[in-house]
Amino acid sequence: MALRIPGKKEEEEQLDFTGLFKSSFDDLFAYLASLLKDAAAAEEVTAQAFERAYSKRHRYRARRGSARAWLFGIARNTALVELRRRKRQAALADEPVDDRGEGTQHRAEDSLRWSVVRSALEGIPTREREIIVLKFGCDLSNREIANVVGKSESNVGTMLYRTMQKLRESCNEAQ
Amino acid sequence: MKRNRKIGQRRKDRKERAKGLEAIDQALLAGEAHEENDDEQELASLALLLRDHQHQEREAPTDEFRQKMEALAEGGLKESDKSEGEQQGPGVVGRFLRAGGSLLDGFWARRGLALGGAATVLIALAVTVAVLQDGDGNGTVGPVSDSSVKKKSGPEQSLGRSSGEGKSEFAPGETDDSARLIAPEPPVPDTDIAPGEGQRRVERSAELTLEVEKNRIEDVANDVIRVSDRNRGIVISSNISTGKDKAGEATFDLRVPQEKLPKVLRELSELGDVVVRTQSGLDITQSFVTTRERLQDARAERKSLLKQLPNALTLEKAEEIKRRLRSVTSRVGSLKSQLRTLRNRTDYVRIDVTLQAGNGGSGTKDAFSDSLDFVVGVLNFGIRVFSVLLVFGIIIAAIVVPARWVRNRRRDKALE
Repeated sequence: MALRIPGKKEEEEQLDFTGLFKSSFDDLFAYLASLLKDAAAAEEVTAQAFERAYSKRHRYRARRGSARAWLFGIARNTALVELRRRKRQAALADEPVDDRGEGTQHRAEDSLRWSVVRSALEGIPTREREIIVLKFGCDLSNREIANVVGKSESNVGTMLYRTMQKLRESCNEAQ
Repeated sequence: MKRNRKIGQRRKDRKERAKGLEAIDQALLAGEAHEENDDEQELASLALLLRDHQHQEREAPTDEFRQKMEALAEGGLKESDKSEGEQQGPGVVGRFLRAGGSLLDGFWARRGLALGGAATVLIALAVTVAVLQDGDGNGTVGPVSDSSVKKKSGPEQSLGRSSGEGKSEFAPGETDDSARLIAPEPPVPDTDIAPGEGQRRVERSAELTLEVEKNRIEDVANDVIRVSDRNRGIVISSNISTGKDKAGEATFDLRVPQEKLPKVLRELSELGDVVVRTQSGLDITQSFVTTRERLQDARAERKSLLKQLPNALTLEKAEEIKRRLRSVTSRVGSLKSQLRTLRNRTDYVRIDVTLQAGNGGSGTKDAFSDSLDFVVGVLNFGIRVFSVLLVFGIIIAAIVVPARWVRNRRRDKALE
């Protein structure tokens, strides 16, 4: 079936989907991988997210937030559906392993501080870790993060600040 | 005191938080941390550390996946760009590669929403129209007197206009000693008294004056007759007068079945501008019941006399019985006629229709009046539709808002 949008032309669409894809693909994949802790699942959910975003591109309204935040929001919801599906299914014999740590051994040596921060990150709740990933891993602003997770900007700012304080305290304790 | 301290502490915390977040954003923007405050400096450098390592350590897509996705993004979702394998590819990636899949979802989702909205509006309109429709024909335009039912007491009534059958005058009970032998009337089945005659009997009448264009008096007059015929009515009399110098007028005396009254009034009202419309009712139940009872008494008396006649011992006695029989038979006939007349008065409604020629609404004042009526009518209708839509909106919101909250809660729970 050929792609046809009744009454719409590519050039009339406000959302530059191709540009959005290019600028967000890596960040989005990384975010989903951090949520799902599984590269294969992250691939599938990334494709799903872009598919849904494409089908809903006419619904995007710039006044509601940036296109990146909109895309990340769709991706997040898709990932949460996947997480819920996993929970409903019988427990897997082998849970997906977060193997990102393995890669770091081959990169530049970690500073002691980063090791401490990394350990502290493992200990914070998933919601707060998610905000850290979105803020520092995906370079989203507080407002964009608020759009993605469905909370107010003030709420996100508070959560981010508290998380950073926890991490800072962990660093100070380690020192 | 304690409360003030708490408020002060909260303000301080808020300030610190704001400064801390600003320091983080500044550091991310500038790529370095230069804060005067130690705490803010630590936060800023921690932010840079997090950013650097998050970017270094994050999961990267495989080259194969990246190439597939890039190819799609550049080529667009076209059927021809896909390979067969991709078309048949299972899973979401295959679906994304297939043209139309995502588009179809969006297409039907949008249409479904539009259809749902249209259905809601249609239902609202239907409900509004049903509410507006007045089944008993009491909706009026122009000066109207309230329909009223006057109860008349007393057993004896003036019958007024009658259908012309039989005697309409009430013959007071009499004991005429001169009796002729009259062949007894065959027993009259009790059909004169219809079932359910315990209900009230109300004689209704209506008056309707319509203003029509001068050159349409005759056409409208024909329409009046058509309305009457269509509803099993009878035109008792009609009079149409038109002419060069005359304004033009038509009058009708109609009888329509009572159950058809609202429909007939509605249809007649649509033929012109209603100037006057009145309805009235006269409760003649008492008269009806009384007449019926008298008829029953008269019949009983006749029956008794018929039984006595063969047993009369003398000729004089027999003659007397015959004389009384004649009298009571006459009375029975008269009462039956009265009852029939009363029934006709209540089964049929008299409608006096008058058509008078108007200017046809050609004047400026009429145009303004018509426009105002139209605007008011539209406004009234709009208010009713709005009310119904408001109710629907509240119902939908009462369903959608909690559903969305539940959906968001479920999603957040998946993170736990």
